[in-house]
Amino acid sequence: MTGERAMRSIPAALASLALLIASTSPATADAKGKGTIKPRASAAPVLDVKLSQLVVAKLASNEATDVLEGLTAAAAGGQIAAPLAPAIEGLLTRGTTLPLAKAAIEALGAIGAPSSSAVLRSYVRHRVPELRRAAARALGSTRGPEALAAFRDGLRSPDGQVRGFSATGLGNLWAADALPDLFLALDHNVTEAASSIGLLCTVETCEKFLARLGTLPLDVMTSGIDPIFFRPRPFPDDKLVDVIGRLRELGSLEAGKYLADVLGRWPAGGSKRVKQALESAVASLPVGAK
Amino acid sequence: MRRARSLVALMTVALVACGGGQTHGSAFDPGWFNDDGAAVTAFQRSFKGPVLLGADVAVGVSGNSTLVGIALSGRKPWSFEHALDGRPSVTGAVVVGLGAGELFALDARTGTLLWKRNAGGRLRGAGDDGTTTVVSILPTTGLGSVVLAIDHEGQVVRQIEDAANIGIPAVADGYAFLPWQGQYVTIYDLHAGEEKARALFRSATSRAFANGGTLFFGENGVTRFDASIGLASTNKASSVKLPDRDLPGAPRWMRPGTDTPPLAAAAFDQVRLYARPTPSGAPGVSGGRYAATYFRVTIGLDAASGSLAWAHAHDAEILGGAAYDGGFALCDGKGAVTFLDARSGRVTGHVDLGKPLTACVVQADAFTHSATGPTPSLTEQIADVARLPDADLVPMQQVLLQELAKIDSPLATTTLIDLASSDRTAPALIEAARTALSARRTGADEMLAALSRRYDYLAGVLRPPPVGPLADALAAMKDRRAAPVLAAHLGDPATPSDDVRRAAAALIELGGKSEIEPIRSFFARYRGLGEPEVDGAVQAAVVSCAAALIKIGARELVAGAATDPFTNVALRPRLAAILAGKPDPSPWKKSPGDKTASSMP
Repeated sequence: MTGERAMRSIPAALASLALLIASTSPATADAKGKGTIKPRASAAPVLDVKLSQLVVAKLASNEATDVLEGLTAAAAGGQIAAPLAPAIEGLLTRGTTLPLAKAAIEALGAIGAPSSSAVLRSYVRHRVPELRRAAARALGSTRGPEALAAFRDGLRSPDGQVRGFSATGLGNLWAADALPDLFLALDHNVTEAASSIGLLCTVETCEKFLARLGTLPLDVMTSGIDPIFFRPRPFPDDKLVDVIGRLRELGSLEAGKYLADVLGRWPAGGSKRVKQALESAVASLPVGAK
Repeated sequence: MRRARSLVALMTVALVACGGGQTHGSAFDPGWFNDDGAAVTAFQRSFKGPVLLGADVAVGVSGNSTLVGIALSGRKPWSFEHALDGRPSVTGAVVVGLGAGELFALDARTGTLLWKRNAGGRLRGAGDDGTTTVVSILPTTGLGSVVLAIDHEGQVVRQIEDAANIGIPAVADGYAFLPWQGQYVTIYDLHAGEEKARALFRSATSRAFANGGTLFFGENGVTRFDASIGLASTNKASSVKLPDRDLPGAPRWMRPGTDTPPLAAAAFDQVRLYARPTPSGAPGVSGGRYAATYFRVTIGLDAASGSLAWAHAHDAEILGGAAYDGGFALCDGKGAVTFLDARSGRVTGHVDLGKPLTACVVQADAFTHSATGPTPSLTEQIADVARLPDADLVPMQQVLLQELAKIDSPLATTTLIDLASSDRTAPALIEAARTALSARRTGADEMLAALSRRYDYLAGVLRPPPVGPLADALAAMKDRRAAPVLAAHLGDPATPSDDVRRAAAALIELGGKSEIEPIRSFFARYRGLGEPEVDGAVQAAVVSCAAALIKIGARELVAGAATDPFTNVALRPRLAAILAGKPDPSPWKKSPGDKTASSMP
């Protein structure tokens, strides 16, 4: 069967479904490991080679509907479709129409291959807002050094949404060395920087963030305080109790509600001292009485 | 034919205890026979003067009834309260005002009341020779004129009523010099009550005034009362006009003397010319300089060529002023009188009237004021004025930008770039700066430095440099150093699309192998897009990038794109034409949809 005939014989939905064959069950691979899902030691799913070839052929088609089918299929495959990433990257590198470019960017975001970061980075600076925003979103899943650099650039973008995606992306990439830029962004009303600062800050740099309590809106502050409370490796109790105390001093209904919410989510195995401080604060604030 | 006088009709100027006589001569007879200047020449020969120097003072109006005055040499300001119906006149040693049915005169140096008497109508102006003040008044009927000659004791020496429009008079040695009907100056013997001579002018003449010990007549230009005054009717008298230079607001040297200036300063007070005619020697203006004001800006101009010599920005709008030998005294709405050096525009001093003003009249006759110190260059002066964030000043700032564009200096280039890049610059001025930059053929280093700047939200750089005009200029200068920075701007979404178009066009001339990647990247990312996804300027940039790629040696890229179904359908024939060495069949034309500003939300 030629590739062209194969393309015609596989509707988009089927191709998508085929890519979603993410079985972890042992497979009957042939000697060359082709034509079916190949089990790995980790039992991670892999893409069927034939299907991969069919999608690649679609991506190379001169028909927009075929290309779109290929991109849809690749996006549906998620990380399994990583072998398709180079073909999609090529599409973006060569250039195409707006709908196909957008679909390609979203597919790369769904696949999340680090190799895609380079081409996505160039699209973060595209003149068409929907493309640059899609590229900034997609970079969050491709990661890698190019994504990090793109996000640092993106904080300085004239596009507010790109700035927001970039601030969030830097947090998700654990880019601790971007903290100075994130603080600068926060001071320039990039509110998404708060949560990333909360994720990345040390005891010392968190203090710099907490100093903004009372000057920045509480919802912005709590988006950064939340990750401080719920670190996988918790901060010292003293620090967290201090944060609770500062929120308590605000004396506002909103602060009370937030602390009540934190108390509700406080892990069973979490610090008892912190929990007691939360209970005490909640009881003393308006929402606590309820 | 003698003209009948309407004494009764004009008796709205009520005079009490007149000491002088009513005049019924032929002073303003339009049937006068042109004697080719014989009589006025003869009078001038016999006229010995003296023409006294006037007081050097500034007199401001505050509200409807307060006059404040100060000697330009800087003594304590004086103040005088009297209702005012119009602008006071400062002449010789007196200030003349009219309001609430009273005409009054003050000692200009001290503000002391010299005399007052009942009178109606509106004040046109006055002349004074130290003993007698001659006042021209528009009667309440709004027709004709009343001229009063009053000595400093308050006695009326002469009252003249006539249907002619008599402008602002001068007086010297018992003779009144009365400009009328815009073309005559009658020399009138105040004691005898008769016309002694008449000069005929071929240009508008509605003012007579003393300056530097000499009499002058004029309005648009000025004619000196000297031995050649008899030639005025043939335009061969000692006359001077200022260059006919196109300036914003069309400022004039002097308003018609038959006007009655309103109490509060109006646009024609804030936008006007100042010059001091030379009292002797070749006709001209003192120091070869005149000044033009435009609200709070003053520029100095060469009196021969009209070329710009200097520029100065005041703290407040200028309401009035005067030229003196070596400078200009300009009075502003805050009550400050600033002295500017005529050669350089440098501030040489101030006096302060002490309160905000609504109008101001300055007389500077014997006054001089000089000071030493550094003078900013013309470029610096223009830069200071051009950067003022005041929308009212834009027309003058545009004139100054045209002047700046003629100056080959790094500061001129950077000023134009700054103006084109600043959020605080008025849109019309940005366009003027961009146009000037585009045509500039010097300053490449400053342009390259500017191009290295980018939009940076965190750094507060919220407007990119004027990439398009700089691209035009650097391409015309064939400066290859611009290629990489221009190529980098192709990929910057903060660069307005029209600037991207011009950068791409410049890269056809300047681009080389090292720019192939950014040009290719731009070409790839935008070749598939059409309107309204991107505007016509971006599409034109794609075509220019194609031309650049072909020139650099990446022809196959363009050839592939020209037949690729994913290339925008409108672009394909354009690329094919470029590949065939033909001109773009759809060259860019600016359309309303094109963005000249950043595409950012």
